[in-house]
Order: sequence, then structure tokens, then C-alpha cells
Amino acid sequence: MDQSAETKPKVEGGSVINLVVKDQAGTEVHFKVKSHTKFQKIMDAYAGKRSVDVSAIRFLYDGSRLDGSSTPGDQGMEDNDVIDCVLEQIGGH
Amino acid sequence: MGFVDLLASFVKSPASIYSSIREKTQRLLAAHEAGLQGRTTPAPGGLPAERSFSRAPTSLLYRSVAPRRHGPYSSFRTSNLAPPTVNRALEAEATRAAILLELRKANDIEMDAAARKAEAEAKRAAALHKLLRDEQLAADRAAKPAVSAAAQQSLPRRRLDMEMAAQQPTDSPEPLSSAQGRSWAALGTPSPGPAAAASPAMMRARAALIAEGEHAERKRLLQERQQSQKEFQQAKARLVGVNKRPQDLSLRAERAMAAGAPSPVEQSERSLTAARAQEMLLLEEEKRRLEASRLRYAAAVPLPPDAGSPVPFGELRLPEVSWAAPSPAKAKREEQRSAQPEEDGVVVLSSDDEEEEEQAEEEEEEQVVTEEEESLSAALDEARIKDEGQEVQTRRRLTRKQQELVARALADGDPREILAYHKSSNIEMSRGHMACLKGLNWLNDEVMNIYMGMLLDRDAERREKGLGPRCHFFNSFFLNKLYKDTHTYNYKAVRRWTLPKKLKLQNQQSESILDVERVIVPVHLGNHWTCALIDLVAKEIVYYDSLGGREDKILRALRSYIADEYRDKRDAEVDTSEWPIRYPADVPLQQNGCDCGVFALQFAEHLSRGVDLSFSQLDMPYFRTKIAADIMAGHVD
Repeated sequence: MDQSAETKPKVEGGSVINLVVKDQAGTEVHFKVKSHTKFQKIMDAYAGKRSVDVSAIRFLYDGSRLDGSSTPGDQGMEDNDVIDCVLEQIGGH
Repeated sequence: MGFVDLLASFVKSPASIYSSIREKTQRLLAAHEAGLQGRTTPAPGGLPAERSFSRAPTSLLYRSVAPRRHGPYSSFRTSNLAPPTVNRALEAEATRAAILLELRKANDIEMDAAARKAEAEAKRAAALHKLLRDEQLAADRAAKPAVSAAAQQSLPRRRLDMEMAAQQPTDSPEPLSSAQGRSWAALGTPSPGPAAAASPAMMRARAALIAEGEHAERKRLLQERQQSQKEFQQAKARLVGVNKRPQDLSLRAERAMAAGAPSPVEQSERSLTAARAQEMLLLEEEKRRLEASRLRYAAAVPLPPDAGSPVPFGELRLPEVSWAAPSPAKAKREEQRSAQPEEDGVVVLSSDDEEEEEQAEEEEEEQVVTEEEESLSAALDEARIKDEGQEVQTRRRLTRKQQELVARALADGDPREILAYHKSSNIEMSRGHMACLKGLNWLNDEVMNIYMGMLLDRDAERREKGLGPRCHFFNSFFLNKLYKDTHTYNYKAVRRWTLPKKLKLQNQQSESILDVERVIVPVHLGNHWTCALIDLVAKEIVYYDSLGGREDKILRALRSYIADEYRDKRDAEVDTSEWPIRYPADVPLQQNGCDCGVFALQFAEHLSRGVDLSFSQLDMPYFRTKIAADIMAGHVD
């Protein structure tokens, strides 16, 4: 449903890539980001867009956890790479 | 001065009320004597100040208008017939009864914190109420000193019997007692019953209390009252436990499933959720019971400082372990234990940390001399764990260094503060997330996944030392992506997770997970943590669930995953469809509704060392602290 939604953190030069954040229901949100944009910015934008608490979601890139301080460049991300957004899990019994 | 006002003023100024009660007692005595001499009932206009305070006319009135064989709320119906003073008292009682009723309803649904607090207040009010009544009783007793000899024996201890007695219509000739019995029944709280109400010991004590206004004594009696109420609640919980045992039932159902009768997943999920509410209730009762018994020990037996007890963990309390409904025999055993000096528990340890543990023990023995301030409750906790530990012959202990780490990890503070960072899993452990290791909290994905990352690190270390088996650990989201999110098998979603460069990032020493012997997968089932093992040597999938459940679909997905992994990474066709899915019968089971995460982590930890799962519910408090210490230290010992 948000298939076409695009959010653009501010772009000022540098190579721009398209990233897809996909949640557990398969909904995708597309971001155009510079390769040295910190993920924190993407996370906050995503959390704001989906109205979720950023502390209740985790971002995984190929199974490894993304933290806010790294950038798509650090991770060697390419155009149209998918970031998985998963909800926190809790269990007792 | 009405009863409610009296109650209010009593709450406000206990000191001044003593003198006023003394005065009133004397006046009442005089009035009563006058009444006995003159008329059958005191003149309504004659003694306006005392009228509302005097129980004798009120109770007579109760008697004449109140139907005897009605339920707990019978007194409500009489309220519009009673004079205004009685009305007010009845209103107060009705309000309280309504509050208590509401509280009970709330309890039935869920014992949330607010309700508990409110209940505590209601209890306190009830305790005051009772005290007041007893004082009135004492006053009346002064006027009429005859007490039945049969009543001498009973004390307001055996709450359950008392309640039953109160529900029965009372035939006591003493009007006060029956009125009181009824009003207690109206409150829906345990009544001391006519016999107990006339207990001379209590009344003497209270008479002396009124005469001297001794503050300490009053407090003690109040405590006694609250304690008895607690005991009543526990007894009730025990009854509920005997009748229902929801926890056992759910466990039994799960075990039955493990034994070979898989029922639909949805059904088990639902029963689990239902069982949880009940379970938490039982747990609360159990906690309160333990707290009560601890208080009693603390008052009765000053324990010698235990030679083996740990240093205080700051805010950390070792979690109470909830078992089946407590039996009187157990309570007795606990009392005996508190009186006996402790003997040292049997220590069963895994071989590789034995040496360190021994050193730690020596260290701790030295500490004891300097740590006389060791808190009594900590000693008692230790005693309980020790005693229960002896039954299964396991007892583990943190080193002093670990204890310090735990104290730091679980201390109060800013929940956003980052306490630890694990590099290869790239997880920052905040204080808020760490707090899930406290007490009986449920574990979250952060703890599960940081621990998986640390187990990967340890696996690398073990390989350097030439120790096996070689392992890989997925994080808790792997299965979500592979199967659970869409409920369809989706290899593509996780295909890139095991690329050589990704594995390297996670500190996996092998280039492919197909090179390892064991792949360990934490499984999250909505509100339950379990652990799955892909044994690439034995060619089987094994499932470890501390509730004894089965997850065929998930395990079949894992089986297919291996085949696809061979196809994708090795370009090889390996038929895994015949690999057996195994549910071991001897998996340690959790006995509560909150430790599954700890169990799942310990399954992973033990499996990755290739050792037996030689732990039980009893070890969970230890493992919770150990996990906290490991996370703080940055690696699993």
C-alpha cells in the first residue's frame, strides 16, 4: 500500500542510491539516500512515517543488525537493496 | 460522632483517639449500667453523643430487622430500615464491600499493580476497622465480663474455617458477635467468627492497649491482622490451586502433546494465554507467601551470616521460584531449615569453569568476615535456593567479579543508557533491555541476539582451542524471514544471510554454515522462546522447547532450508526430506510462565558445547545473573 511512497532525506551531492525498507508484512517504503547518509536518519524517517517507536523496531541488512551511526556506504549497499524492518520480540512461556 | 467520623479521626490522630476512646468507654459503661437498671434499651435522646458509638442498641436493631439466612450482603437490605446512625455505618460497610468486590473482580481478570495497591489500602482500612471494633468489644466486655469458656482456645488464625463459620448463621447469644460476624460477611472478608471475636487474649491485649495507649503494641496487632489476612489469601490460593491447577494443566497438556498427540497450534497458543493470567495470579500469591514467611523468619530467628551467600546485588533480588501449590509440609520444612544451621550444598559444575569457581569460593569465604552487613533476606534467599538445590543436587554460583557486573547491569538508572556493546552482532545493550533479566521478566530479542553473537565469538575461541562441535548461531529473526512472517517458506529472504562475507562479519569462522556441525536457531513463537538445532552430522532436526511443545512446520522449513542452502551455496542436491525431526523427551521444562528465554539460551549454550542439558528450573535465577554478567563482560564464560 505504501509501495510508491518515497521519502527523501536531504540530498547534497554524492552518489544517491535507492533503498527499500520492508516490514514483516511485506510493506515497502522506498528511500533515496546518499551513500554516506547515516542510517539513523533513515530509521527516524521510517519510524515517523509508520508511526512506530524507533526503539521497538530493528533494521537488518542481510541478517546483520544496522546501527544508526553507520551508512549505506559502510555496508556496501547497492541500489535497490532491501533493509528488513522487524519488530522487537519478547517471550516468557 | 458517627462511626465513619470516628474512623476518620482515628486515622488522623491515633494518640488523641486513645483518650477519647477511654472517655467514651467509661461513659458507655455508665450508660450501659444505667440502661440495665432502667430500661431494656437506652433512651434515644438521653445520650446523644454515645448513641452511635454504643454497639448494644445497634446490634439489637440489626437482630430485629436483619434476615438471618441471607448471603454476605444481607445487611444492605436492612439499611433503609435502620436509624440514620446505623445507616451511615452500613453505608461505609457497603462502600467498602463494593470496593472489595470490585477488587476481587479485578483480581480474577488480572492482578495488576494498581489493583494490588488499592487492595493494600483497603486492607489497611479493614485492619483499622477491625481494631476499632475490637476496642468497642473490649468496652462492651468491660460492661459484661462473662465470656464463654469454649471461646478461650480459638485465635483469629485459622481464617478459612472462620470464614465458613461466618457464612453460617450464628446462634451465639452474644449479639455483638453475631452482628460482627454478619458485618464481616457483608464485607466479604474473612470473619474472625463469634468464637474468635470473644477471644479473651486479644481482648485483654486490646483493653490493655486502650488503657495505656501503647503505640508499639497497636502496630504489632495491626501487623498481625494484616499477616492473617495474607495467610487467608494464600490459603485461598492454595484451594484454587488444588481445584484447578491451571499451570499444571497447561503443562500437562503440553507434555501430552510432546508424548505424541500434537494438537492445533492455535489451540495451544490460546490455552497458554489463558493459563498465563491464572499463572501470574498464582505467582503473585506465592510471592506474597514467601514474603510473609520471610518476615516471620526475620522476626523469629536471626540467621547467622551464610558462609556461601553472595554479595548483595544492588537492586537485584534473586527471582522467587514458583512451584506447584505450596503444601503445609513444605512450610514446615522451611521453618525447620531456618532454625538449623546450613550445611554446604552439593556443587555440580561443568568441568571447564570448575577451577575458577573454586577460586571464587575461597575468595568468598574470605569476604564473609568483612561482609557482616550481609542482608538477612539475601541469606534467606540463599537458604531457600540451597535447600531446593539439594533436592536436585545442582548449585552454581557466580564469581565475585561476575556479581559486581550483575550489580552494575541490573541497577536502576536511565533505561536508555548503553551498558554493553557487542561488535560482531552490532547490538547495543541498554539498561532498559538488560532489565528483562531481572526477577521474572520476559526476555527480549536484544538479549537473545546479543547472546547468540557472543556464542559465535565463543565458538571461534573454542575452535582455536581445538574444541568442538563447530557451531553457527542464527539470530531470532532468521525464522521470521524464512517462514514465520508470511507463513510460507521463503528461502530467498534469507539467502544472502549466509554469504561468506556476512558470516565473516558475524565472526563465523567457517565460510559456509554447511561446514559446521551444528546450526542453532532461536525460535520466537509470539510470546515463547524455544531453540531448534540442525545437526548436520547426525542429519536431523532437534527441537528444544521448555514447555514440551512441537513445531513441525517450522522444523520442516529448517529442513528445506538446508537443502536450498546446499543448492545455492554448493550447487549440490542434498535430499533432506528424510531427515528426522526429533523432540527429545528429557528436555528440562520450565515451571513458570516467564523463564522460557533463559531456557532457550541455555539450550543453545549447552548444545554448542556438546554437553547434556543438565539444568532445571532451579538454575534459572543463576542463569539470569550469569547471562547478565556475560553480556557485561562481552563474552560467554
